[in-house]
Amino acid sequence: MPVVDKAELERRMTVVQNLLNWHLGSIELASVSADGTVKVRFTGACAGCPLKPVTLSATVRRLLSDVEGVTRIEAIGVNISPEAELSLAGLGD
Amino acid sequence: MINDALVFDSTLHLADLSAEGLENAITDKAEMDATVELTNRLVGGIGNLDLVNYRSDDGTYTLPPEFGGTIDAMYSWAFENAPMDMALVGNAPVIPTGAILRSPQKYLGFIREFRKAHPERLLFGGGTDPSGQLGGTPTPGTLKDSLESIELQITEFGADSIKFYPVGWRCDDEEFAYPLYEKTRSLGVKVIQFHKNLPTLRENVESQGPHDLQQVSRDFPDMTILLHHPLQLYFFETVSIAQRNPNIYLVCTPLIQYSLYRPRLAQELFGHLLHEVGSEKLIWGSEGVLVGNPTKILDAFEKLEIPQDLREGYGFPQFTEQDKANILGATLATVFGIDVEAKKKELAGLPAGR
Repeated sequence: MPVVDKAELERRMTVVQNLLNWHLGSIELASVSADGTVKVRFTGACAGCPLKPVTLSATVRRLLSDVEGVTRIEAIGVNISPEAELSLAGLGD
Repeated sequence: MINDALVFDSTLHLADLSAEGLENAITDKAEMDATVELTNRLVGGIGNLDLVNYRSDDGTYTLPPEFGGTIDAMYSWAFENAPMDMALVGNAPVIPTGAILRSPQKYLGFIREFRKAHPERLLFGGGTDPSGQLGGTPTPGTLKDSLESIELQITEFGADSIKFYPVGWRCDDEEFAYPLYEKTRSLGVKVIQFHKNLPTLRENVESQGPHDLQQVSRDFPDMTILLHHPLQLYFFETVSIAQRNPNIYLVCTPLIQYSLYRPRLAQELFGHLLHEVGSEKLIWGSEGVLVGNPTKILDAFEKLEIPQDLREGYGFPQFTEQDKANILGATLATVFGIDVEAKKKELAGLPAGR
């Protein structure tokens, strides 16, 4: 299993942060596990925003998921059902 | 257009997301290039500028000739890749001291150019945060700043509406808040909007209640008030206020987005709104561009029905075609005095790409 390219991940995170700042929100990297799961945490205005799952799907995953070694992106505090995840998959494509 | 209904987005936070547009936020070239590449994925085509070519020795950027390409990309995003016909674009706090956007003038310039290119489709929803608390700006905005910003946005950039973000101030404060509405009205703009029911940062939740709009509604009966975000927080208060005050309308974001991934909740909340407020006071919004293209959300809303158990158990009415048409655009068109049928004909007669 390829190792997560952390330098590239952090570079992408910076861009996502800049974009979310536009809405007074942001995101921070919480952890990167050996199996390629990246956990992020929404901060600022994103922390209490009900659209977090949409932002996770349409923006965060879209911009981070093809970083080498990343197998899954989860957001702490975004607790939704697999059915809702499925509905949101590919949003913005 | 969806089922012959005009689709008029009330909350399109459209802006120049290229590195050029974010010039003050990004100073590192590698970061800029990454932004260009990644924003391109979000909105398509917007990031095709090699901005380093437009950087002066002093580190500032001049507007590249390809700026028009950015406008084209945003046009495609909203009106070609999504079934939208019109949009109220903007709705972000724009204050001279700079809070949410590092370069308010550039943002306003982008909106102005975009409107100039597509005047049939776009209105500009300006905004201001007189508290200066949003974004933690180091130089807090003031009432004076906000009054100047309102004047600038209306007189120089043609704002059709001004949105307020009440953080740390009450909307019915006659000394602090009323001058904002009076200034707006004195410049010929009679649609004002309020961010409510959705705390932005760590302000007290009760400051986000809609209660203080009741007095505003009574004291400014000739103005139209768009109350954003009828959600779980203060939902029934919001319903009651919209029900009884003829000049208050509800902007149903992110409720419309719930149609896609929280459909049962959308059914329940829309059921209450249809039953107690009526679709002629309900308005949708995409909240684009950062939450993605709204096509899937609009598809989900088009299919959304009030199920039998909610009709039987709560007495909610079923959505009618007219309800959907109102929410998708007719209500907002009415707010801005736009004749829906005439607008549909006008847009149908435009050449491709307009």
